[in-house]
Amino acid sequence: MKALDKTVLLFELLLGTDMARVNEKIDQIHFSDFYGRVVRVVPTLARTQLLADVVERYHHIDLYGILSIQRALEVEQELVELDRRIRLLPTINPYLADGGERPYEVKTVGQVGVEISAQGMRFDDFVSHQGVLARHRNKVVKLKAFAWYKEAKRGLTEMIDDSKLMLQKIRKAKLTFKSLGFQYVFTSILVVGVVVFLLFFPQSEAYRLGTLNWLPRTIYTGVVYGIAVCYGFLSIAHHHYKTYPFRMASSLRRNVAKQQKLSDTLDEISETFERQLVQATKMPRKITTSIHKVAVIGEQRRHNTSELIDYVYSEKEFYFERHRAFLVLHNIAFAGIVLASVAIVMAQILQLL
Amino acid sequence: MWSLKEILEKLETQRSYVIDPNAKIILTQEQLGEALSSNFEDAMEVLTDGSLLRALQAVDEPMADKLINYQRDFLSPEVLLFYLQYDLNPNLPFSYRDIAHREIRTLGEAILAGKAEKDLLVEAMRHQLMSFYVKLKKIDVSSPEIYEGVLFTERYLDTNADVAYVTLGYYLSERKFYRFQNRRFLSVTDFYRYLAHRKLFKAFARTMEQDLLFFGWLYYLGNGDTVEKWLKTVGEIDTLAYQEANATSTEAK
Repeated sequence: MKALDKTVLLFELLLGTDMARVNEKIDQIHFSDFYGRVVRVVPTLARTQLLADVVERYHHIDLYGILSIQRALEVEQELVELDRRIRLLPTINPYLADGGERPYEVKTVGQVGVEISAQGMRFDDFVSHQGVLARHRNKVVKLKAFAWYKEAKRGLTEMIDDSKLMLQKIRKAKLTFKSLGFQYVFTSILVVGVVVFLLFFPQSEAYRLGTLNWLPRTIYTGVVYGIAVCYGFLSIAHHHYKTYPFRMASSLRRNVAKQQKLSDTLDEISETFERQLVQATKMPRKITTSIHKVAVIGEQRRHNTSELIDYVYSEKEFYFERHRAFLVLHNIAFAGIVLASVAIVMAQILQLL
Repeated sequence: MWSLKEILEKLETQRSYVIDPNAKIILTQEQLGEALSSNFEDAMEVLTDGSLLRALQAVDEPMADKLINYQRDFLSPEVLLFYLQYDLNPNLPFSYRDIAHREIRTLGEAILAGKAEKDLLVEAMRHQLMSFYVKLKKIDVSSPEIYEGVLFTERYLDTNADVAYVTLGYYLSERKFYRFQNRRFLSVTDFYRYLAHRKLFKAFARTMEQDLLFFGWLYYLGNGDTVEKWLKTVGEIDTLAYQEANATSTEAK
């Protein structure tokens, strides 16, 4: 027996019942953001150590890790070795957490179950899973992979439908900016009133003939130009607000189109994926690759959906914040027109005096 | 300065612990014990030639009876002397043959540092003198775990004397840590983490079997059964591997 094996065996025996250490290992489980959660088994230096890790995590504390199929197959090989050793030497029992004398036994080598969820694959309970026998392994892999695939596809379809529904609601809904609308209507009335006053009212005849005193004349002129500028600005602003829902809807449509494209891609890949699942045992690497692809698509879907939802719900809310300066100018224009109207009234009073 | 033999002669002559009435020199039991303890060669000589027994019979009949009883129990002279010196003076430090250690803690540290007299101490352990001394000093009451540990190491001596000796060092010094690469580890878990983290497993594995301090530490931490189980398993695996190899070579032939 090699020195390293001896050392590892000693530590297994020493720490086999140390649950704190097991918990520490759980903390060391890393999560990859590539395709959801992928457990990387704590790096180990010897085969026996790896076995102890696996057995502790899966058998004793009921923690189910998530492994790739490739990894699962590697672990399965490790189990073959463990089984061989235990059969060779039944008294070896370094894997008990409870410190009891019950001998640990690998039931049937090859009891591999792979559960695949939206987060990725889960290498599942390969030791104690009831009803999963070696000869059913491939079936389990396929069934669970199919289940995940269906779930993912259904989720994506639902998401696209939701997006479409949301789009319809946005189209129907009128984004109202009540204060700004009132300002625009009020300003329009004022502008019309001022223009009518200057052109048609007898009180402004002196201004029209050019016989008005310099002070009221200057006020009238200033008011006319001021109103023209402010009204022009308000018109642009109003148009911007008015067309905002449509612009947003257009953006949403583009997003929905992306979603649809994604769905098509998923369909396309899923055909290959399904074919490969049928040949699960023969082509584990390809399965892994396919599942990676599907998982990546799932990740994109999650990201894009999230983006879409953020867009819809946040756009209106943050619109004023993002256009604060524009809004200030709008209010200045409104105030200018109101002041101009007041100025005309004042000028008229001055003229009468 | 009188030699031990001269003192014993005076005791025998005076038939009293007052060895020089004129100079008013009075010897005590404790002093006699100390004299025996500090002059091992002389003590062995007076024990062998019977002058010690004669002197004790002259001045201290109960102590002489004890000596006779010890001799009747076929104790070796060294062991006999060890017991007798403490009968005379229970306050003596640990003293066996010509070694003496005032504090058991420092003795433990010396064992762990490899600076103690290993052969003599192992011999003392074999005669259960260490546990006797620990009990004499009432350490079995103040620190029962030390006493139990010493008893264990004395029992374990036949299995593995080296490990028992080092474990004794841990018990006596009450050192709870294992030192590796200038670091102190208080638990196996911590040590395992360190090895795993620094990827030192292989390096440690190369020297582990020869590392008595490591095994002594494991025993001290109460992992004795586990280590025993490990030793048994390793032995079984080696045997099986050997048998398997033999069977393979036979088949090949």
